[in-house]
Amino acid sequence: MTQLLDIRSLSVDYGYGAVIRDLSLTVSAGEIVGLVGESGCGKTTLGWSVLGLLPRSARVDGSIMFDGTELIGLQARKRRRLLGVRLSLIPQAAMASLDPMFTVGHQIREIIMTHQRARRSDADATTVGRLREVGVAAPEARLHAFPHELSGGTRQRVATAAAMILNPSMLIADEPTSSLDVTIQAQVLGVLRSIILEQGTAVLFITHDLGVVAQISDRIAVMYAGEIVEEASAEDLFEDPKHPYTKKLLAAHPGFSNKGQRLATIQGSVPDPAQRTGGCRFAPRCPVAIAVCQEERPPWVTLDSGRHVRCVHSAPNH
Amino acid sequence: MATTVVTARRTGTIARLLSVTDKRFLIGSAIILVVAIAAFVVPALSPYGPNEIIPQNALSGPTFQHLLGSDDLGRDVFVRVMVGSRVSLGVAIGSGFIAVLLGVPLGLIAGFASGLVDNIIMRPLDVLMAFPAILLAVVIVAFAGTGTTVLIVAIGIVYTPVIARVMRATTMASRTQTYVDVARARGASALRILIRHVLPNSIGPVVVQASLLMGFAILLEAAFSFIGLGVRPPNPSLGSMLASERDFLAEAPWVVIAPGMAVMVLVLGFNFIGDGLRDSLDPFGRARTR
Amino acid sequence: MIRVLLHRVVLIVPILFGASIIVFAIIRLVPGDPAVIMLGLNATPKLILHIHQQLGLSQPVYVQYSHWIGGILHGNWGYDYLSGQPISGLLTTTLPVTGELVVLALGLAVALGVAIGSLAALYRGRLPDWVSQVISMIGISIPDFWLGIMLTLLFALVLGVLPSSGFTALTVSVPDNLIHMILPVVALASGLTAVLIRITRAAMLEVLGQEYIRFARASGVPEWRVVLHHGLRNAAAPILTVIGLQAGYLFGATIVIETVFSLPGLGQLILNSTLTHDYPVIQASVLVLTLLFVATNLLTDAAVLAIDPRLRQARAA
Repeated sequence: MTQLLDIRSLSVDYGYGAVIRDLSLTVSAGEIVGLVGESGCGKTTLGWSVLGLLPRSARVDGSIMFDGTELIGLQARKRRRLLGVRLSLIPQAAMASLDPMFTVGHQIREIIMTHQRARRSDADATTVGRLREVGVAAPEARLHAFPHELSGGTRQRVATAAAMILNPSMLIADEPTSSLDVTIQAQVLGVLRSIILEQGTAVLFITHDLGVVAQISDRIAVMYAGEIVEEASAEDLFEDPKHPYTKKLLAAHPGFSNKGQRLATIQGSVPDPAQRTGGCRFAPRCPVAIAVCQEERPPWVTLDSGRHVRCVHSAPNH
Repeated sequence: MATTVVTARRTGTIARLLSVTDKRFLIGSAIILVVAIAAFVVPALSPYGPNEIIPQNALSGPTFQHLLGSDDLGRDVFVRVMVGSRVSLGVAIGSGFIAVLLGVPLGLIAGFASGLVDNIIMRPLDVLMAFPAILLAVVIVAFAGTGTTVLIVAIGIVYTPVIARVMRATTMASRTQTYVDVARARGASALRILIRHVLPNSIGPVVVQASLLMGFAILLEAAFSFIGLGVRPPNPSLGSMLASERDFLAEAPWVVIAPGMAVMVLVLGFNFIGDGLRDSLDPFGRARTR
Repeated sequence: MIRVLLHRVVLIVPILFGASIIVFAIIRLVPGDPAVIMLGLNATPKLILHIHQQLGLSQPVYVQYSHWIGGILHGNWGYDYLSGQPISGLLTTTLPVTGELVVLALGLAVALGVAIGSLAALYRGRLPDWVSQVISMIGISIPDFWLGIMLTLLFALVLGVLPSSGFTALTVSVPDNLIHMILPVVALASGLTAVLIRITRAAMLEVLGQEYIRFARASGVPEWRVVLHHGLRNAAAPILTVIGLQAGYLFGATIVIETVFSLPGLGQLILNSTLTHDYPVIQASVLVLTLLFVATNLLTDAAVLAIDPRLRQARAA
């Protein structure tokens, strides 16, 4: 399978320690990859790295190949030709992702007209079609609506339609549903899933919510303190988590822990980039940490069935 | 426990005011301090009096005798600029004092009492703010006559509503704070709560605003003395110096450059103090408006 | 939106009433007999009596006020006692001069302030930001009339490219008029420009950190369009509000700037009438400038309402 997105040895530093350290991750065409982790672990920074949204002060090393194009160091002009066309963002915080000053129609038309020569009426027709596909009621009327006139769920649908408007081959979805009510969240996820499957779009789905990831992903990468600690198919990961952090995450989630059991909590919090050491980053919170974890970075172990884990306990010579 | 919270809050603001180490605050304070000292020391040490006329030295350029040159009557510009700065500082401090003296109690009472009392105090102040500041000062000068004292009072009155509004806003905000409830629960009287608890916590923004207003007071004084509605000649004031020496701009630009620079340095000093204080007391504050 | 505006207008009425009372009170607060002060050395019993009659000084205060304000509402602003001319005539000749000065200065300040402030926000923490902050700090601290004198020194006396003072009416010669306006407009605009640099920078920094800006960038919208279209439109409300509040400074500062450049405007009229104790003229001209200031505020309020769809559809609170 060809890799649509191929991130290799990516490191990002805002000037006070690495936020992302030596991270590698691939997404194939049409594949949905979930990226899970607590807040502060670098998920959003990873998304921004791909989209070129990092602040100027950030130091970036490594490589991000998208469909044969190196994204790191890419000229702004060339990057803009990819963004919105072949690579799109479904933004975080549905409430704030639409400009309050302009109508829905105006904002989606702006994306179309940025990339294509199109007549206004044609652009609006395309927009109405997309809005209908993502389940917005009365799409013609919604063209003239301002964001503040829409509900949170509808706004997120509009943002999804805007991201999908030019049939991109890949989406970066950054916590697209976390600001919504649970019921609406499920609806929006359902719509997103069906439109993605229909279009064959590849997705990097960034979230802190294991339940959401379980619903939508083919493959899951678990991120901790700027590193990917475990990567497996959705089934494998939920049935048989290998990394102590993944185990803890699952135990702390009401949907996956055993019924009747008290929900577990993970002691401590994700360390600050400035305080991270060279060894295993989870070691200070890890129940099974041994002396070597403090000093040496654990190896990236490839297990059978193609899953990976970064833990000494899974290493063959352990 | 409650007591410690209350005292900690109260000493908090004042201690923070005294311990500000913002670079701009320090630079601004240094500027004002240096000018203030020079404004008293230079005229005392100089062989020339501020109004001493030496005709043979008229319009001499900057020399060792006259560091900043001399004006059309042969008066020493350096000494006159220093004495003028003294007047400017006096107007700034005097009008700032009046604005605080009137504005703080008005805003404190309006913000604490709210309702009818608030309206009775604030509506007339709104009327004062409907006038452009300079025009309101002109109105006062128009019936009260020109002179330094009138100008100080006029500028003080012009800025009273500004101080009162700031005070009212911070008072309204602190009225609902826990330490006020604690004091009230202990049976403290309204006056005591105002003076012991609300005032110290609201004073930060007032100090910031007052230092910025003092900068504008210096600008206003210069402008009013320049157009002949402020300090009366022959008393040197930076504005009146500019007015009387303007005619010699072509032959002796230094007599016009020096007083203007002095005004700018003084205003810069107060603005640095105000900006530095604001950013240290309220790191998330918005950019100031005039 | 229209209801919100009407609500504002209603709120302004008592403020204007209060302002008119203060302006009216000028003549009553003068220590001693205003007629004697107005006439100065020319005071004769006959002239004093004439002024008393003209201003109705012997009548009760409220009668005097209603007479005065009633006259103004009917377009009768009273008479300049020195020349005997109707004040309305003085206002119609001076107002266009001041109006042009203020409008040009406002335009210049908004154009420069918003442009420099936006640049500062875009290049936050880098050289253009530093330069713009230095410019705005100097602009806020510099006495505008002194800046005017310094500009005269440079452009009129040293370079000789611009006139140092004087005025030509727009109706006589447009280029001549504009040449005489350049220096006064620049001097008058300096303070407001500096304030607008600050407020634009702050407003833009806040807007440019918003999620919809990130989304627009991530959709490939060009940076200039992100800044000019989305950024400025969202930062416009606080900028407009400040323009409205600061317009008062422009109106007031015309008194000094018109003196520096010998422009025959309302500001000079106010100054001269103050120096000669011509109270009816002071009252009329101060009232006119204050009205203009209040009207400008109302206009910027309306503009804020008009550009923001959330406010446009809101009902009066």
